[in-house]
Amino acid sequence: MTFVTFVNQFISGATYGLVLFMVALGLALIFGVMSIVNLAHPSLYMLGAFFGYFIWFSLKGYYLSFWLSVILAGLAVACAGIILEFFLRPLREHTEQILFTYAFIYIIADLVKMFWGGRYYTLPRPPGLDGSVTVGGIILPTYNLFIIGVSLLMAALLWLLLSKTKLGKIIRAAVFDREMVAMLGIRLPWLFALVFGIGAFVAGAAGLLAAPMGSIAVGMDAEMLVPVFVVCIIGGMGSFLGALIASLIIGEVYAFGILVLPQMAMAFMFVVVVVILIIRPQGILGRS
Amino acid sequence: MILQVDGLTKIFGALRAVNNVSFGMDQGDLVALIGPNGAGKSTLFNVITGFLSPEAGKVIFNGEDITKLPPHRITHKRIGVAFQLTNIFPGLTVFQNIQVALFASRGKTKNMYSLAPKMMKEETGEILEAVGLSEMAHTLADSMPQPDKKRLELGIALAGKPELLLLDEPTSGQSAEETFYTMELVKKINEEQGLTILFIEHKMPVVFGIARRIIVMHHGSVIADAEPESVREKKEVQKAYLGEKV
Amino acid sequence: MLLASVIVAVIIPHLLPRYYIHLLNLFLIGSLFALSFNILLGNTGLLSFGHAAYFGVGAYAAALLMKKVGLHYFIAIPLSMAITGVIAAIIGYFCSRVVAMSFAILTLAFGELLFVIASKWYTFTGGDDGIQSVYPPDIIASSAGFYYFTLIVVTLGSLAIWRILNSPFGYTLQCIRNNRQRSESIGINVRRYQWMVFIVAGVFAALAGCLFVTLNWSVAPPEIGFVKGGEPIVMTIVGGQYIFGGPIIGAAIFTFFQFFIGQITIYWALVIGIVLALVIRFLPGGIGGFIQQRMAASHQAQQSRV
Repeated sequence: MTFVTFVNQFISGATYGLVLFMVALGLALIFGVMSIVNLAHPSLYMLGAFFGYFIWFSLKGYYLSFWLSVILAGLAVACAGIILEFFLRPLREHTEQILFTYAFIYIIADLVKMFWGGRYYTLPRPPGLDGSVTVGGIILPTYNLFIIGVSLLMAALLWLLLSKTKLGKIIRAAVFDREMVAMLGIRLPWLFALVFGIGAFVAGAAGLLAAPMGSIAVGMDAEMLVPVFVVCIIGGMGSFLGALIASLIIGEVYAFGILVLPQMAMAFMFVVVVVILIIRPQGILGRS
Repeated sequence: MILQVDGLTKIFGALRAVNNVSFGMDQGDLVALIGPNGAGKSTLFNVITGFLSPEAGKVIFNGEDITKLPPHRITHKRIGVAFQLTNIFPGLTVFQNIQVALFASRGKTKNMYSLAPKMMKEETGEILEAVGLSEMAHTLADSMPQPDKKRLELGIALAGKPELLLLDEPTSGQSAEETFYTMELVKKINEEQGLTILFIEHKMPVVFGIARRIIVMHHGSVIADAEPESVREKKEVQKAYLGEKV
Repeated sequence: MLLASVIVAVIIPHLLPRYYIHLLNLFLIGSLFALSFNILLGNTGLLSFGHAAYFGVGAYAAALLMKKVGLHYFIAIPLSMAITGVIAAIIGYFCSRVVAMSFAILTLAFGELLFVIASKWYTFTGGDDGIQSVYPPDIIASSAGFYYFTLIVVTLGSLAIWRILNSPFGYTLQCIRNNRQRSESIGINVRRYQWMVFIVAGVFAALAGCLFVTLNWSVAPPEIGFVKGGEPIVMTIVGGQYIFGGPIIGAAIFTFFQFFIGQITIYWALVIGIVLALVIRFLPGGIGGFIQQRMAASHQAQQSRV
């Protein structure tokens, strides 16, 4: 393996991993604050890609249409997320919540099929990011580097939100002691809806952001499902940093695995999962 | 010496929940473990029963070092526990609760072919009789009032035919009558079956009423370990309970 | 009542058109599959998203044993169950080390792994085409013959499961579902029992898979995947996870629904998703649980009238 190949795979792996990370971020936020496991989160990712595509299509030609589409798609998915959260509210037990969101995987997938058909769509990269960059003699796709940057930026923004703003403090307090927060006059239902909305926004935006690198089709949710949750479990449910580390590991394992066993790169991911879970069943940064 | 606890220490972050605790118990002892809230009594129980592992120290039972054993193995060594917050099987009936405990202690749990409802009916009945729950045998455990759940808790612990019984606040939440009944029961099983019993309690009349020896804990350490009368006199004990004032 | 249903069950293949018998067979196989799943969920409290893996492996194993090794169907079945048991033992070993949510995802992940293996290992498993032309032996090849065979096998399998669930082992599983900590402290090695029950459930799923492969005359990767894994989940939740007959009711509803709704619309998954969501929200005990409650309530009402 040459150095060039190595760097290319490395960047490719990091890109894939960080897309997983963006989806996992929303999941971790929702789980951390509300202890809800949202199995339909990857479906929200797919929804973001579809919403985004059609918003972009309508806005085509306008200045900054891609970026606007990302934001609007994110918001649209956030609304979908809030609706889902509303229905989820009466359910208290974990198993019930998992199964309820599981039902939504099918509902969302079929609704997407209903509105946008079973075909796939391709989204071109936005102008300015469609070329490549030469670093140290190696040609790298600009868009991949952009994704790496944007995902880290999103994580940083979320972290800032949680640690520096008042809202963030309230959210963190709610993780530890819901009743107390409620007694301080904060309306918990609104807070939870907001948190779910933020998590959904991130997933939806990620959906559209990742779209130019592949195609937008109905199977996107299934493709993401296992890897994203594996990332969350290895990293430790609810931990952002854990998810980051785990997603990079998974991304790189997959990228290099493809070189060795192209048909079954997934198997390598498994070995990693199994090994980590045996050594540390609660995940890298999970609470035991 | 049936139970020997030696230098047991359990640390949570900056808190020494159990601090270098040592004591021994002979067969047939009926010992009370008392101390203000947060003294580390329940934590000590959790370490002895294998739910927590200590940072230092040993627990030796019948000559065997059981410190590192997981809870299910410790039960098989014939140590029984009744928890403070009722820890029963809510979806099963009272009868089934005791039955499973019996199955588990007799090693029958791998049996996949016999019909469970017909098994060990007599033994189950005996234990229900002993804790006074015979009439509620077919009630769903979760639907019982709290004091009855406590009795079931005790029944489950007894089902394992333990040599050493650890009871964490066996009378909490019970009325004066029920408390009396429970403590008479504890005294009875100690005297008739020779069971060694260590119990945590807050109700002083109960403690001084039946314990033959009292161990007092405070801030994780043992500050007294003697007969009831001498413990009553000890200044340290009074200090601990009254909050450093004498 | 029992006699009547037995008579109906026996006469039925002679009364109904071919396709309905096919549905009946699907229902029977689905019941066994769902019952095997409920050993894990309703009884032990373990939610497995990858249970189809064992159904599929059972089907593949039977097919491969018949086609590549030339074994007779009746010998292939127990052998396939044994093979699946071994695979369940391996996967279960890892899955039983984790709890709840991680367990659910891990079972899903392993299911997907097996799906990928089945799809890509062309030389062994026939890849995406799967294994074709798997015919049942002549004795049971007729429509009625196969139906009776399936009926007998499923009935025996269900009785075996019932027996297991009402044995001390079954009670132990319920303890684990009710209170893990207490189970540990009465002497139950929870991890080991989770492992054992995983194997038991897998073996029965394999039996259902064996029946399926000769009904369908073939097996392909989708029988292992995520979507197939959803079937026992839906059947069990809709039918009711807390009573023995729940999965059977759920299997009936699912099978016939799938047929009738499938005639009206292709958005069958949407309907199932909505039904599942509604049941979880409004009928936590499933339809079976609901019926049981009604019966208990009217029983009480009758008693108080006296």
